[in-house]
Amino acid sequence: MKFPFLSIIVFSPFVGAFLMLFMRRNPLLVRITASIFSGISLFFSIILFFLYDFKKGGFQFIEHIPLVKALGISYYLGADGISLSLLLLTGLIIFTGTFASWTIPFRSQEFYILLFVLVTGVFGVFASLDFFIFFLFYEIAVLPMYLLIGIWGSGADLKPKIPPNNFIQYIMRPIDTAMRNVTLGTKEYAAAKLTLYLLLGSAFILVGMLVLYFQGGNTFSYTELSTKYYPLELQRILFLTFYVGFGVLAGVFPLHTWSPDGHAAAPTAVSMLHAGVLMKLGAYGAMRWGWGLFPQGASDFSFLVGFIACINIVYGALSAMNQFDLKYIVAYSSVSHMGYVMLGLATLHEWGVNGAVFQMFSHGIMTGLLFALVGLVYEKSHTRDILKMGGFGKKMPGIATAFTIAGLTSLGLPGLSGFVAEVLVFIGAVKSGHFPFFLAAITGTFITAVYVLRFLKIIFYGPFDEKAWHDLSDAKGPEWVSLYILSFTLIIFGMFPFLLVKFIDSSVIEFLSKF
Amino acid sequence: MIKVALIEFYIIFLMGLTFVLDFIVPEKGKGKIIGYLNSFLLLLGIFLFIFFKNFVGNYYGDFYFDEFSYAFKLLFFSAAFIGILGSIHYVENELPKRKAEYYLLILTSVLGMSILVSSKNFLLFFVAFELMSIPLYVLSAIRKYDQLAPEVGLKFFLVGAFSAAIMFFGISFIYGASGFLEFIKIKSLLSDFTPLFAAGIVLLIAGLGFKIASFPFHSWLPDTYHGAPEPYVAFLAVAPKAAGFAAIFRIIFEVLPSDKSDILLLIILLSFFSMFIGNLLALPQKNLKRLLAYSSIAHIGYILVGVACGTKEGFSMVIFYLFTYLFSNMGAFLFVETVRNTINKTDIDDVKGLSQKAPVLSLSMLIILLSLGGIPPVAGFWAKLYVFLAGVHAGLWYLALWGAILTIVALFYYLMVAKKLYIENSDTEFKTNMPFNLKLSMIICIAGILYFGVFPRILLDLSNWAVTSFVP
Repeated sequence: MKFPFLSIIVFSPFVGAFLMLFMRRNPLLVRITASIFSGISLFFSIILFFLYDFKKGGFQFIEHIPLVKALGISYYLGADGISLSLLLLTGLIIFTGTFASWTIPFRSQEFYILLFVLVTGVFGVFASLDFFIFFLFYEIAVLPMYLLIGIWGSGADLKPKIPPNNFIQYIMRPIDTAMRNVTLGTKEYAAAKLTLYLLLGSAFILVGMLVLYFQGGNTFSYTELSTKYYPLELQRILFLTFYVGFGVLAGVFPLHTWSPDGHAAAPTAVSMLHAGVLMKLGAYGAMRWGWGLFPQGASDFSFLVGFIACINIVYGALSAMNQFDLKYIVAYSSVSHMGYVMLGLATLHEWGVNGAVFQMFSHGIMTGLLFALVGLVYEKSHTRDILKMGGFGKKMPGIATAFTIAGLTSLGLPGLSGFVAEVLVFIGAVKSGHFPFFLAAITGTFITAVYVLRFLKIIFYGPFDEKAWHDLSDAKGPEWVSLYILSFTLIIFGMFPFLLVKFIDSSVIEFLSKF
Repeated sequence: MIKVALIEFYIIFLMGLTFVLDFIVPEKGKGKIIGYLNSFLLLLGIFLFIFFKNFVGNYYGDFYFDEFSYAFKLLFFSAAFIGILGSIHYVENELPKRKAEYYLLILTSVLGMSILVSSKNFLLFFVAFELMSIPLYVLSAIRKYDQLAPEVGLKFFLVGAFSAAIMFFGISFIYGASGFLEFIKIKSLLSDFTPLFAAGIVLLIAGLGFKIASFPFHSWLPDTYHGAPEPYVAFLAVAPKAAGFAAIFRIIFEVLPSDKSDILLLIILLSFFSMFIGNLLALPQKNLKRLLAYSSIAHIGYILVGVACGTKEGFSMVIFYLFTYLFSNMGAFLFVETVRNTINKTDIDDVKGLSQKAPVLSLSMLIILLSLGGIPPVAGFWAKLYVFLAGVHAGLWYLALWGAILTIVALFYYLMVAKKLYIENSDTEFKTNMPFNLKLSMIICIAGILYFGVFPRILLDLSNWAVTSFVP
């Protein structure tokens, strides 16, 4: 019996959540427990990087216990370079998220319990190699979100500004209106919308999974399914099913509309997890089960996927430019950045796919940091309207610095991890002959630079209204933890990308060997 | 005879006991004594089922005790057990007279169901069907002082009588086409559909469609659920429907000739529209009971996916589904009963902010809602998964996809209830009034949901075993 690293990573938050059930009267103890158990997960996900044999490649740390023999369901965990980097991402985000929500005002015990159940699901998704277990964890990761946003979320006074000529918005308007009527306020609306969209995605995944189960010889195991050959027609259908199903969670246009609302309404830690990690669940699922199992179907549709990814990049950036609500800016920017992930996957080239995975990691950290900062700014200034802010840099230099680091990562400044990811994706796009996509993506970067620099300027520089903001203060105590760790990570992997790339690359080569 | 029908004799014994006790026990506390005794004996019966397994056999080829009827009888016993246990306080406090009759009628209905699933002769089939139905009509109108009761009783009775008439009509067609009433003889005699025989089968399925309340025979259901006593509705929502499904199974496997694709097409249509109508009409409901009623029409649609497969696998998945449905749906109605018992209202708005005042009760309801919505890792998820699995295996992937998409609509209204419970706040006083028996039955339901959510194996084995005797 080997040491069950992955099980410990997956279930340590769950154990924490269980223990927290009995800490009703002691909020501080809840927080300490939370940081300890998320710390355990983070620690082991770092340890795995030292133990992973990247020369050998493939899935390692395998744990395989049959659960329902009659149906071929087993508890089957394993990790390769791709999942390792995402496990590390999740570990970092939840550990820092625990500190970022230190000041949650009410019902903190329930909050942490739900958050940790959710994280168990996320870890489980990245570690599981059995489709069924994968799906179980996937659902567990989606549902607590409803309550988390519904109870602790923030209802914005500002409505998101919808960019002109958005035909999707016209089509969806009746449904949108109906949902706004049924639900009470912004956060309830966002929570319901998010949950229903994501579960619609999982309905597609479920049916695709069942079809795959029978076509692949009554098994859910990834290693077995990936050795089978599937007829072209089936490959196309199932690839599209998984692309749509997981694409909802990855924020693929036009199914992305839940994500800005959801991100904006969620409490800080949930936004961090959500934009930082959950959207990667979708991309990872599509990569693992869509691209991984149906190479021919994927290459048939790679133009479509790339095209939609470019819409994501440009449209998301344009929408972000159009917003005045700080949370919506970050939320739309993550729609834009997820486009790079999908574009990287669509290139089907070593550089591009490496870039996609690297972008998943880098965007996760960056968005996590951005949302932590947005949460801090909101908590201290009690507004999210950037037009009301100005000159905050004087009072909160620490936050301003961290915000600048995250913003510069977002626009792809060399030396920070965002640059590495974007360059890899661009080179992949050019090398695989998708030159138009390369141009579109470059445009996206340009627009990103515009809005990032603009909101940095508006919030932190310029005249400072001493009267209105006299009680503004810098981050303090536990709030620093997330800022330090996440900014540090961004710089480290921007300076030394090979730390991560050598792991990712060993798996990507194997991943691409089928195409 | 004795051996084969031992379960039926056990119920008759319970009925006799109840009848005798009605004279002996004093009026005060009668509901409690007889109720607890009955539920204890039913629980004992459930344990005795382990031994009943060996009594497989038949009586003159008309009455079969096989694996299939075994599973269903277990289901009926469980439903009656939870139903009776959950209604003791109701009988004791809210029925001024006729306390023993309440139990007697439920037991009679269970007797009818249990004969129905064993019968392989259309005469016995019909008699059992009526024996099952008539007590239900009486029970739904038992709340005499309530204004709704006569209306509900009459509506249910008329629809039920109508469905029985249609069924009888269908049976007479089948008899006319084949000249026999025994299932086995009909099957061996008719190798394909004659028009008369097909018409008979369609009428028969229409009649049973009323009982299981699938579209387009569903209209009685919301009204009946709304007006009838809640703990009884918990029983009504599960047991007679399961009996109806069992009857449909019998007919599909043991009456129809081997090529049954036309009848299965009919069931596909029923399933398709039941899911659609049930889910959509549940959306605008303001009353918890009506919401659950429409959602149960949708559930019938999901279960019919398994029936529409026409394969053994599909049927065993249906049995699995019915068992999980037993726990989750009865639990839901027990929750409604608790709310009604406390504040005498059952609107969705009345449970606002319940999680602050009654955290355990709300958590149970959340688990039940997750199970009804088919969210892992509770029992309802496996049920839906298995049914869709069977559907995809039988080539009905479009029906499975349709069901999966409509599940999202279903989640919308389940989440609405969850939202009321957890997210909204209210200032009204809510001091949970949950008698011991209600608590106990609720605990059983939640335990069932969680247990079978984590270990679905036992139930899966049971339902796979139950269909072994069928010849596809």
